[in-house]
Amino acid sequence: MVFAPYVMAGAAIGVAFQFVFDPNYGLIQYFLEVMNIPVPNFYQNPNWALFMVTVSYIWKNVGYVFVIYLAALQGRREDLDEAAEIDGTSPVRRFFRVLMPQLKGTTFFLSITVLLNSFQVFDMIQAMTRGGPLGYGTSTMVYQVYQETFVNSRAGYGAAVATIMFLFVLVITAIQVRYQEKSKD
Amino acid sequence: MITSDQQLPPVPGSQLDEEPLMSDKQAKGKAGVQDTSLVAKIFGYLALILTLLVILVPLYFIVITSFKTYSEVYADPITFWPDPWEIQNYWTVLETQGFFNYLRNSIIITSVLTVVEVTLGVLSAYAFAFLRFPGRNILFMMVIATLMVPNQITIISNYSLIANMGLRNTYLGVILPLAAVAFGTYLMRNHFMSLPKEIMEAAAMDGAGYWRTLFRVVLPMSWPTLSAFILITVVGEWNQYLWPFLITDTSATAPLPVGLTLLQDAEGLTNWGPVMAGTVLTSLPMIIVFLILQKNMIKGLTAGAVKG
Repeated sequence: MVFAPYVMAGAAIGVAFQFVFDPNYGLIQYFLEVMNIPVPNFYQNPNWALFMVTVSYIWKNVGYVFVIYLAALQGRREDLDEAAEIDGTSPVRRFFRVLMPQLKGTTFFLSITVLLNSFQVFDMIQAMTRGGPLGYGTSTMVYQVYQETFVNSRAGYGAAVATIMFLFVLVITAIQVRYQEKSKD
Repeated sequence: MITSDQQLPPVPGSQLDEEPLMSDKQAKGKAGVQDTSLVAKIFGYLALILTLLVILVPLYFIVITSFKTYSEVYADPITFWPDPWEIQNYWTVLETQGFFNYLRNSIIITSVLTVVEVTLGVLSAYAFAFLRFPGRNILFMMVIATLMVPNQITIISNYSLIANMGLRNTYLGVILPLAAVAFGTYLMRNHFMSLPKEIMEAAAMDGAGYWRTLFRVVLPMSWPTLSAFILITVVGEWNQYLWPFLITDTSATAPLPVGLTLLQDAEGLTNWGPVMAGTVLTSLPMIIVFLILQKNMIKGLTAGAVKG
């Protein structure tokens, strides 16, 4: 079930979460009011709008990270864990010193993948905020490409943003490839 | 490091065998480990429950909102059990002009794309894995390189190309730029390379041609990877948004996610019930597909990610 949001359309989640974050009738405001926390206006305040989009995006993708880690954990070396236990290592220490190093590759892979994917969020932003409020409150680079090219009819500017974005992706991918080759040795 | 010594059963009379030989400190340490691991377990379960709640509560809220009456959607404080359960919202969505058009478009686009992508993926992967031809490695590198270029970067050139061909608002215009995806080639080639060479040789000895080898030998051994590939493609194309959103204007060729945002424009902020019903209807097919076939899909997603 944790994985279910990952197979939902980003646009659908964007639409639905707009209501989840509704400052008057949504789910979030209900819990905030129960805890006596003032409810920010998720629609009007650019910072909170960005928060809203980010949380929705995390909600969608946490299942993916979960599944990949699960697969990695199934391949972990239990003998190391046992050895650490015999040595009397505390569970917290065992988690950080024995388990996490084994998952280093997976963590790296996930960080890069999630980073690259979040550059490219479009559907959710289009569904929730149209890149606003106040112009660029929640615009990603992809959203800016769309905005400039198709809304403001400045295809050249849009293409320039797309090129810059491509360079970012290229550099990050190069780092990833380099790291993976290094870790193979 | 594991030496063979550690894996041997303890020698009788050794320290491991007799508890009393442990010093007090060691004994204490051991008990301590067990205590804290219980605490760790409780923390683990708490984290798990918290995660589940964070995932499931919004999902639950979306579903029940779609069953609420108009006045209950705007009740303050919000309710967690619709009273009465009302399916009017679903009727509203189904009666909305275009819903069945969007559904039909989604089904057509997803099926055509899946068939095309899987066919291209399997055939190209077969060529890259088993055939020898000049430039094979360079070509494969080029295919892999396209994996690194996000779709969104090419939308401007794709858009002007498709628009100049007069293909806006056509199925062909939606499908063409999405059809060429290197992911399948990469996934299937990696899998084909892992198949035992001997079987391929045996098939060749028996006089099986390329097609026969592919359909009778290679594919029957590739079902788990192939089904994962198909599933990921179906889910990905069903949820495709940016490109269909740009290239289609009307319900004539736009798929469901695009239709949903149009429905939100029409109803959203004024009447959330039908919008939630639309969300559920858009997401339900993929959630059902996923719940039935989740093992296959997860296998495909983890194939590239986890290294031994």
